[in-house]
Amino acid sequence: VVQDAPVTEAKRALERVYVEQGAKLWRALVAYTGDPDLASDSLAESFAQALARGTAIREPGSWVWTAAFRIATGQLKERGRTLSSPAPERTTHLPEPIADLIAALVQISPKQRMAVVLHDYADRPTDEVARAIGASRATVHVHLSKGRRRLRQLLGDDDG
Amino acid sequence: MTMAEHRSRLRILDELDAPMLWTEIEARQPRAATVLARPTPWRHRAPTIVVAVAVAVAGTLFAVRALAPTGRVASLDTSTWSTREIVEMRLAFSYPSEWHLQPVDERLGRAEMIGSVVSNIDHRFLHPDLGPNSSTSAWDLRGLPDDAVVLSIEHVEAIGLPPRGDTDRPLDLDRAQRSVGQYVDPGWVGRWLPFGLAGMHDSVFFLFGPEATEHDREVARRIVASIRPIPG
Repeated sequence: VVQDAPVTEAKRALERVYVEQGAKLWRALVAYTGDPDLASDSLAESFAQALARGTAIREPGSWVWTAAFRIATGQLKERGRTLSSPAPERTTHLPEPIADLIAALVQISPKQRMAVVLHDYADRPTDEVARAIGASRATVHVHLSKGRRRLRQLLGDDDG
Repeated sequence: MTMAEHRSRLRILDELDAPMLWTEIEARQPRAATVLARPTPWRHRAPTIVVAVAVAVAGTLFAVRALAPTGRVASLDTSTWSTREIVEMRLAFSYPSEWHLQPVDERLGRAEMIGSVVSNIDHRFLHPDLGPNSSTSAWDLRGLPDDAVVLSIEHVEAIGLPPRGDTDRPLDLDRAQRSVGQYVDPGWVGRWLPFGLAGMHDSVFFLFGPEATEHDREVARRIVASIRPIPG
């Protein structure tokens, strides 16, 4: 029982992360992948990986966000989905304004999209976005700037 | 579209009903081949290391050249200058094509920073890294050449500031005040000129290197004097 205590505590901490951030993470993954099923799988896999690592993870909140987006990126590559196709079969049942937003998001580059979704929607810190993308903070700012501009153009409200 | 509107648009995602996955997570066996950051065997890294070293050497040479003055003297004839419009700030300004412009549109903690940095050196301006829980809109201006001139025309969106009356134009750089808390080399002095335009709180932060020419200082004055509102 004594040996299991830290593991149990780690699991509780992770469950707390899920309760507090799980829904936001799932929505961010939907925005990134355009695919609710892939979002669910990436989220579940990241938490399962975190559970398996137990106390080895010091910041489970940050860890699962980064892992989930890396897993999603890997899944997209494995499926050979370029994301220039917005997985219409998955998004048709989404409310129209959200489907329009996602249709625009999937037309910007994956790194720009990840930066915009993580930073501007999910309020994740720049350091964490940089880890998820695998780039420096400065590069993240470049992705953000270009991604925002492109999104505005695609949504038809770029006046500059 | 302002940053606030951009974020508001993204928040429509909050209307999505997220599934409850915790039970599935507890029962799930993690995949062995999940794509996380996996270490690459050293022999696979060797070509990358060779390329990285070559790029680093080339980058160093490039940086040495890029940080040197452009060698081209900017015209003082503002009618030949380029125009930069910043829609979010509802303003425009002019600058000589020989100078370098870096657009700014970023989030710093809870604040949004919009604007442009204009300089007589070709340099990528960054904020100092204050760690994961702190940030600043100040620029890290250490290590610049002695004849550098840097202007940051900026708006930092903060909470609770009432609308501000417009400042008389043309803006006068000589009315700037000494700035504190900046990241500059010892002996360098940054200055700050706050102004109101179209009801917004904006400012120009600027830095003249100790060897900055009077010509480049005059260019900076004319850039600031060219700041004007654009129709909303």
